[in-house]
Amino acid sequence: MGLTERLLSAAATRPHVLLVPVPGRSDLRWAVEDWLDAQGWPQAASPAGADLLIECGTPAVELAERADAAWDALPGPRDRARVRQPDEVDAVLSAARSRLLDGPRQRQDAQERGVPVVAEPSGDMDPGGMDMGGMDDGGMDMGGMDMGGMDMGGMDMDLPGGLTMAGRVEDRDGLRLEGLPVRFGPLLPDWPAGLELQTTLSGDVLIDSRCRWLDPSDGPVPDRAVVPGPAAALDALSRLLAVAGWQDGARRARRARAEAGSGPATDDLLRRLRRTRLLRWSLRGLPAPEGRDLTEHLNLLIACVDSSSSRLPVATLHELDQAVTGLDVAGAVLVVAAYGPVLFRERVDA
Amino acid sequence: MTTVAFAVLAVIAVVAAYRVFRVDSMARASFALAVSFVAVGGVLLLLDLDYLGVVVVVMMVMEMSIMAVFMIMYMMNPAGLMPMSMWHDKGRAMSIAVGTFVVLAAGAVLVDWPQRQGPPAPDVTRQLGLGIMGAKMLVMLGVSAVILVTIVAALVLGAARGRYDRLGDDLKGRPADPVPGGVGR
Amino acid sequence: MPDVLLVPVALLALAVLATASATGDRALLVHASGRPPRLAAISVLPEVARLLVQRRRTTTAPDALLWRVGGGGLLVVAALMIAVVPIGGRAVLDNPVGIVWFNAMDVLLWALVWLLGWGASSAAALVAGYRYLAQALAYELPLMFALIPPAVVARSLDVEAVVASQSGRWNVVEMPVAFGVFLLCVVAFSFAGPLSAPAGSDVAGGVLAEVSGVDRLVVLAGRHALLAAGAAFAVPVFLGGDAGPLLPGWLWQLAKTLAVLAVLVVVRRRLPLLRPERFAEVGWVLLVPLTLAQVLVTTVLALAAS
Repeated sequence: MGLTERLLSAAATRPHVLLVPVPGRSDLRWAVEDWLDAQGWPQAASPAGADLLIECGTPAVELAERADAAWDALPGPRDRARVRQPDEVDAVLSAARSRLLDGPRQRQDAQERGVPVVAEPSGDMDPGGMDMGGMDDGGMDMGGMDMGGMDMGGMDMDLPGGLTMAGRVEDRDGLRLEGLPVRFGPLLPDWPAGLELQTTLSGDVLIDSRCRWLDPSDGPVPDRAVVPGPAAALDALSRLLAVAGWQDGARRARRARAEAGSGPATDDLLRRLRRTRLLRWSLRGLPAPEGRDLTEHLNLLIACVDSSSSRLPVATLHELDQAVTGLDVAGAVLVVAAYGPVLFRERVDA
Repeated sequence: MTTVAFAVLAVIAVVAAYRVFRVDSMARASFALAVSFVAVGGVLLLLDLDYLGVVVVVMMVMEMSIMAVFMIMYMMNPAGLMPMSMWHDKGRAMSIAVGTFVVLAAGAVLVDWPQRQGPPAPDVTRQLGLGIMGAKMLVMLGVSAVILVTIVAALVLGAARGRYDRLGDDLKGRPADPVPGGVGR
Repeated sequence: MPDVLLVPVALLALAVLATASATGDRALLVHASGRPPRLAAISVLPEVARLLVQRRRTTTAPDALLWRVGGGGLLVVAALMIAVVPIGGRAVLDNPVGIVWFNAMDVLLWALVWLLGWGASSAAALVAGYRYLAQALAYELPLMFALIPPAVVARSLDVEAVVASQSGRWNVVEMPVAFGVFLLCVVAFSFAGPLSAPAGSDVAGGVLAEVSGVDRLVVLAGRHALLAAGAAFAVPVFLGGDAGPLLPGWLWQLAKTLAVLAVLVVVRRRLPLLRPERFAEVGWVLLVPLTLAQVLVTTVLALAAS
């Protein structure tokens, strides 16, 4: 039909992209992000707002499972692609976009999905395990099922969907309120690649926190792109600024990163960063690596870009756990954005 | 026209209030109550009491939103996913409720309300205010300020952490809060 | 009784202003990316087409009624807000308490955005719904106090009386603090820009985390419509309505509304996100005394002048 095709082609002008960053392949992530910035394609904050799922590298087992769960959570029309080399970014993403325009293909995809199967509810379900989004089920990086507009009928009215009641924990005011186990997954925007934060939320305060790397490896994972220097500091800056809500600043930081820290974009970014007072005010009071305040950490990152005499700090997962415990969600995600680029991927014991 | 509107709003108010006790979900109960109050506000608008009607809507929606937060915070089954009954001591409660309703309805319907003489005042709200509070208007304004001060004082007395916990014994330290506020006080 | 003939005019004005808000946002985005602002780049039609084509989705055990009411209610509230803005001298709802009506409509948003977060049956959306209430507790009193000085000067709560009272001097000159706080609160109740924590990317999009397709379009359009309605209301209350030399009244009103909307769109884009707990203290410790002082000053001046 002419109208559907025309709507599809208008719709695919600027597809929204959900990125799956793979640990150790920051070079691919940087290449994809730069391409997206140049084309003006926005990044989605959750699967519900995404059209394309792009894997920046080949994910290992657990990360691949999360990517599959996110793929299930994308509403249609959708497509999925994997970038293996930095020079195939343009080809892969353009091909993915043209598959979005393919009306019959998308219709078949929709028909195949149809009504999804509802899992049997069981009382002792592991709250982090299932791939259905639900109130106590966990992953904030996952959504629910795509129903294609149909109503959800025929549920077992006694705790539908296999949900369980949340437990009771004591929160920081001494009240015994509900404790919701939640997993801040690897697919949140500007989140460290392959990191998962398991926590118990009381309201929106993190009562406890256990960070872990998905697909734990035997030692530090070398990252092909992260040579200590201005580009790495600019990458850290872009993620911190994006999470702090200054999207324009994050974009400028990515452009400065593309010119490896010396050029007009870098000067422009540093000038704006030195001037901004509202950003520093909003970051004050949060912990950052090596015992600094988050505002000081921002200044350190600026210094790392400016001169080679400063070096990026180093942090461990345990320090991140301690920093994040007791913060509310907004603060916690900011702290993870600060720690993420500098987390030392230490050896895992068994 | 006005009668029809009044009938519709009255039915909505009563049915919504009934639904408060029949739904299982705390959120639905709170907002069924909000709908009931908004309908009452609509009835006040029909009586030309514009300010009162709109202020009822403002207050009630705000209160129901905050109430919903507390209900979800403290109650065990807030989404009503497990069916539960909110009715306690059914026999006695029902007789008291029905009895009160019959008495009030009898009063509303059977009392010989006086007929209005002449046209309504240009500002009905003002007339109502003067009628209720009359010459004591200044006292009433003062009382409302006193009520506000009492609420604030009760909060200060009831809070678990006071100024000395936050600022130290000499009140000179920086505030020690779990989450620092924006102004640093 | 509502003026039925004005209803399509008011709705059309709201649609145009909301589109202007969305287009302005895209224009700023394109400009900041260094690309030329061609029409194809700044148009919002591709986004609308994308959301129309996208399938809707749901989660396990959502409260579907409350969820969709929360989403759809944003546009309804924006329409009710613009219903008390006089267009060509008359408003759709000739309400003698127009200022309090506007306040009542933005209080309805407390319920609607919270329901949007609650109904989604998702931890991300629920946290975002609570964030909206936390922000609302901080800005609601300053908003109410900022709306009092125009009513004091006009001796009436009727928006048309407020417009008439500005024939000598626009309110913004007399009460700049109230105007500034009002604009901040418009940004706040449409959870935009610095106060967009309820839709923040740190909680996977917040209230937008689980909506897609038409539902998402309705929520996003609702946000822009609320910003537009707030800008439209600021003009009669603070900027003299349709007063102005030479040009016809409605043209002046449109120009002023677009100017206010432009300011809001720029503020929305330029400022970083304010976390709700930091904004809470700002709202209570800074804005409430400031607006109360403004009320005092305006009342004293009004009493002295009479």
